[in-house]
Amino acid sequence: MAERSFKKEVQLLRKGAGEELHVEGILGVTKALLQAGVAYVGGYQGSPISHLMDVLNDAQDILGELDVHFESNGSEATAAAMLAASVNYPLRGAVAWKSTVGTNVASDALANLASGGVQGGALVVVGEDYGEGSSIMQERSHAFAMKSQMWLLDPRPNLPMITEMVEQGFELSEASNTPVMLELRIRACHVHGTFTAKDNQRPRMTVREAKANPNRDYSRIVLPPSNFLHEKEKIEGRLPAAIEYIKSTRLNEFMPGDTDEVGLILQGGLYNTVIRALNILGLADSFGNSRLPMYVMNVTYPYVDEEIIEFCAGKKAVLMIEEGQPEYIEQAVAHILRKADLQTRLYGKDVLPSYGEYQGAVVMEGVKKFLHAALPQLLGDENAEDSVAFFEPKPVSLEEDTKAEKAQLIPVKQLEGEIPPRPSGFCVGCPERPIFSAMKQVQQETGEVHVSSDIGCHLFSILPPFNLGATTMGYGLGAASGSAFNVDSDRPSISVMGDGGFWHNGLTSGISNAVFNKSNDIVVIVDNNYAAATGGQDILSSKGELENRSTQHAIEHAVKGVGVEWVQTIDTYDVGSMKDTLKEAMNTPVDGPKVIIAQNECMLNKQRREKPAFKKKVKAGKRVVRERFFVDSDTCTGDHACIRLSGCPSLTVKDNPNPLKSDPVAYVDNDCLGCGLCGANAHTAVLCPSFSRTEIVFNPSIVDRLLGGLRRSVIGFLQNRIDRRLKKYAF
Amino acid sequence: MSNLVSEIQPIKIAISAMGGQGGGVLSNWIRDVAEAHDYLAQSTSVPGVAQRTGATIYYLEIFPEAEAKRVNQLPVLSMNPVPGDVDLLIAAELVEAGRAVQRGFVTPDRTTLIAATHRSYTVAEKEQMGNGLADSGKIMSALQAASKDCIAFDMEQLAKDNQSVISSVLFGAIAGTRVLPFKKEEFEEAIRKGGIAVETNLKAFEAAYQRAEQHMLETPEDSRQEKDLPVPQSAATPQGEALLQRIKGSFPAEVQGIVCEGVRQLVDYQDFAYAELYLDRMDQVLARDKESNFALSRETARYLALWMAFQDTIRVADQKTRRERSERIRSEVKAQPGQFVYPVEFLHPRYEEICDTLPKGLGEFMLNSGGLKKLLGGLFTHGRKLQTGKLSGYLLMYTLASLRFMRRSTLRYAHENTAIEAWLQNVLDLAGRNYALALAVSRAPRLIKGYGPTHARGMKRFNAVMKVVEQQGSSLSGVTVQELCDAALAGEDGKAFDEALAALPVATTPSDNVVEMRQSAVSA
Repeated sequence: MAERSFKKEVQLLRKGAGEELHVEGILGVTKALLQAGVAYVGGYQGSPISHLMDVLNDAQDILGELDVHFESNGSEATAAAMLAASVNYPLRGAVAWKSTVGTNVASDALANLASGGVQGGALVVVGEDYGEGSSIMQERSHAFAMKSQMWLLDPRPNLPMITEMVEQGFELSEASNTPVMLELRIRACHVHGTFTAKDNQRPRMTVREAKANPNRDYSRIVLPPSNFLHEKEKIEGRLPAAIEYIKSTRLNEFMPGDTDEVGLILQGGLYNTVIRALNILGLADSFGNSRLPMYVMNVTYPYVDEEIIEFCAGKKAVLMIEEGQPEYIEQAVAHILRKADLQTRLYGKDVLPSYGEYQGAVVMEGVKKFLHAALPQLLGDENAEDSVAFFEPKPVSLEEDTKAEKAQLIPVKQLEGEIPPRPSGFCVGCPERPIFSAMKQVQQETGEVHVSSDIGCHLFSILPPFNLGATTMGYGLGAASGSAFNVDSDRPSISVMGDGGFWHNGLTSGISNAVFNKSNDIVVIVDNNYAAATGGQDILSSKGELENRSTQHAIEHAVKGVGVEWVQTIDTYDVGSMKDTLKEAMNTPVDGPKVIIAQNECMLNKQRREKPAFKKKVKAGKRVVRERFFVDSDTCTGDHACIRLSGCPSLTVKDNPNPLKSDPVAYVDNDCLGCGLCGANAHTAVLCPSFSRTEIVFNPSIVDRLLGGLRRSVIGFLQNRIDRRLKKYAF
Repeated sequence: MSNLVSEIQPIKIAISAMGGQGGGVLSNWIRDVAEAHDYLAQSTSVPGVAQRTGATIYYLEIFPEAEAKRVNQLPVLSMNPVPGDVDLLIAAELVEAGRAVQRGFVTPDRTTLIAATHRSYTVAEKEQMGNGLADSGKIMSALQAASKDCIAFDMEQLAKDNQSVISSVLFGAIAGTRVLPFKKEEFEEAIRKGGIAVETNLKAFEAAYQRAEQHMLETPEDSRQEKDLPVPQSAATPQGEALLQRIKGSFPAEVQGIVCEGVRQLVDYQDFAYAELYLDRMDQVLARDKESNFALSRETARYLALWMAFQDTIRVADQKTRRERSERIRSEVKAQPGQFVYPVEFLHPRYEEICDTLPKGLGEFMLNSGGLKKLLGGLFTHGRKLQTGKLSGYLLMYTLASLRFMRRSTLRYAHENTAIEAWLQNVLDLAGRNYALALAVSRAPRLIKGYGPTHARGMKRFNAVMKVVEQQGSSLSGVTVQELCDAALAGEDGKAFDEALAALPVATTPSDNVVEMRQSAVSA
């Protein structure tokens, strides 16, 4: 059960020609796939395209009606390999993943696919996880398009354009027998806008029909001598065909300006940012009408030399606005200009930053530098000098009249050191947190060990307060990245892997590898029933029963199946057992890797299911007990050791009620889910007697009432005595 | 000749929130209002991992449809805020408002800032061993200086007061500022259309609307500001009155408030005689305090009272059996009148604590007897859950609390009292010779906190500091002791403290000194 349900929104996918849709980018892409007559879809979840997988999952009825087959692929490699169905049949297929990480995983299959080429359109939607909000290494998908000769679309980020390019992507793919990648940046995936729908199309051929009429073509298989032929085909046949298609359908756009002397070349995806930058500089209006002519590359690979030459010819200078590094397009443009012997001066990463996301301020500054050098009169009087109001905060004193006229006078310096960072972290009641509480406590006893981390929510262990984990080498590669430490030592190393990563590849890359190489190290597998970090999608070991998927395959069985002898499954909230098990794993004489499966459900998902059920029971008059934690603020001494073993957002601090003390005391707010970690830590780390769990009884039974009444009268009597004493001993 | 056809600009709105705060809901509402009332709207966000409790920015632009019709083009709306180019910044938490200022999204020429002033503390702040909280006052003044108009109050509290969520409060505040070209009813319509918790959301909306209309600007209380401690007119009991008269008679006005508070806490902790002991000790300090502001007396009054009221098992039991505590729990968990609420205490009594609670002789004997420890120790290796809302648990705690009468003969008392007297003697000795040093020493007990291993760690570091003080005497600077104490609180692992100790200029032969110091720390 995914974190976000699209059950309601997917009904919009049924809308027909002429109807207006107000939706998120991802839903627009899904609708466009159906409009383009896609025959099969798949992919692997990960921000920013997780919602695409969630939408497809929730839209299975509608997909079924159209005979579209949907697979929740086991990995990006699986998804890319699935596109093989478009090699021998005119089937349109689309898959989606997070890039560049997903593309890395998929690249073997993609390269093979691109070598033989496709008959049916093959589209890969890549969510380019770059810049603000990204959680991965900062790289570009562009390189993959170049190395495998696939085409890369980077449309202007508005819904009409994005949906149009989905359809064009299939056409381009079929016109040039080449798989096509559609790149969407983070915010484009989540942009909420409007477009006009077309009717959905049933696939020209369905997967079922293809399966019933098998077809093969030896020349499409990557083996000598065809592989050599493929390379020739790519360059002599498919590339020219693609360029011809791009030119004739005008996929790239020439936007007019009112000067012929200079111009901008840009990736389509940056269009809105560039227009806003020009707008602030007084060079464009809110509708994108610009004083500078622009060549907008909605296709960023291959390059259409003729168009670039046409745009640059006669201009004194052009600015290439290209996000990320290396500057592949800029290099190509320079090459094209030189070959064509054009004297147009090329600006690019010399006036723009050579790396990092291109947001408004950065582009504004780059354009200004460019015009300063190439055509200063365009900047106007106010902007001609260095007086443009770029955001360059200057420190000002708070005592002065700070409502000064200039916007730059922001008291930023005063805030230096006052604004603590707020990185992402474990949610309230997360079942993964106790694993790291236990590991931290064990390390306090045994000394530090080398910990290899993995991709997933559990990677938050690298942050305070846990500070655990030395590397992360990729999804499912936690155990693999600890494999060099497979040497004799008195303390084994620990690697961590999530259930998502485990099924993605960790079972083979990590566990089988450790068995085969006779590793004695420890692998902790975090089994929380879902691929939690990507939005709670179901996986093989999910506990729920699903109509369209086979679940409930225990990780323990898989691990034993590949030859692990020592495996233990522990409830994550049982910190004591977790500590004991870790220590046992460190000391057991059993040979081979020690696998600890830390099992408990992602609380976000559990709450989504149980909260309504709880309310329903209360309403129905059934006896239920709610639990949450509580800290005695008188007993707490404000050392915060409990917080250093937890980091739960719900375990926070408040002002000390004792007027003689200034250190804040621990406090549990009302978001507490009563997971029990606070109590378990108080016990296992012998913290303090301030923690209590409160049990709040709803709809008490007769027994509850009788006992409750008795307790109340006895305790009340004793509390009266205490009150009398306190009255006597009062100041 | 320019080909620009319009001068109309979109209205640019940024929402700075944490994952799970309903920034998405708020942004949908704003979009709904705009789209329903002749505006084109675009919103974006960065979900994904950023949602897991991290800070994130939702961004919207809205544009008048009439202008788009006139020009017959669609506007090109941006997906990211540009520093210096935001009309309305909504921050769902105080530090996030500060962060928005830092990033340039709030500027005095154009930005209306709506800031919720409650704090949701970051791990970096709350994991500190002392007070690591950001300075709200500083952030507040920066917010005002950076914005064109600033509306700031505790919106979380207002949401709670109306059984609603912060997004409805923020939405009401937006409407109240009148920065967006929509009528109040049109905003309310968006909440109704949403169809979830409409009644309470509208109540919260209304309350916030009124506050924003009046440009409400509340500065949150700063936790670090020293509280004013009043001197009562009269005491509640005759014995109390005698103590009060003694305080009024012998202490200067600057010190009276804090001494009264000390006495109040010690009477509550033990009895009147114990409070007298406190006053006797304070008399000695005052006699040596020659500074006009009586800083040494005030600080010693604070730490002496806190130390004398050390948290032993008797005190913990006392705190857990009081009526006031049951009531506090009930109100914190929002129990209905008459609803049964049962606390389950997570306690981990160790053999040492049991010995501590016994009379000194017996306690010492048991603590030092290896055989007994072996025999009984096993009973105290695991944590216990005690139900103090039920009879057995409550009676146990009640009995323990009533051991107060014999507290001053327990082993724990003997230990603490010796340490208190040694520390106090140091303060007294140094007061005349190096006031600044005496002051720093008077504050050193702030290192002693917690229970069990936490308490032992604090005590060990306190002893190490005192050892340095004793070895180097009045030649030591107060700043050095202050810095040692800060280093002791800088990290649990003690790395910073060890480095600070190692960096001390050494009075005698270096190696011996360090070794001795370590030994003293260990033996403590």
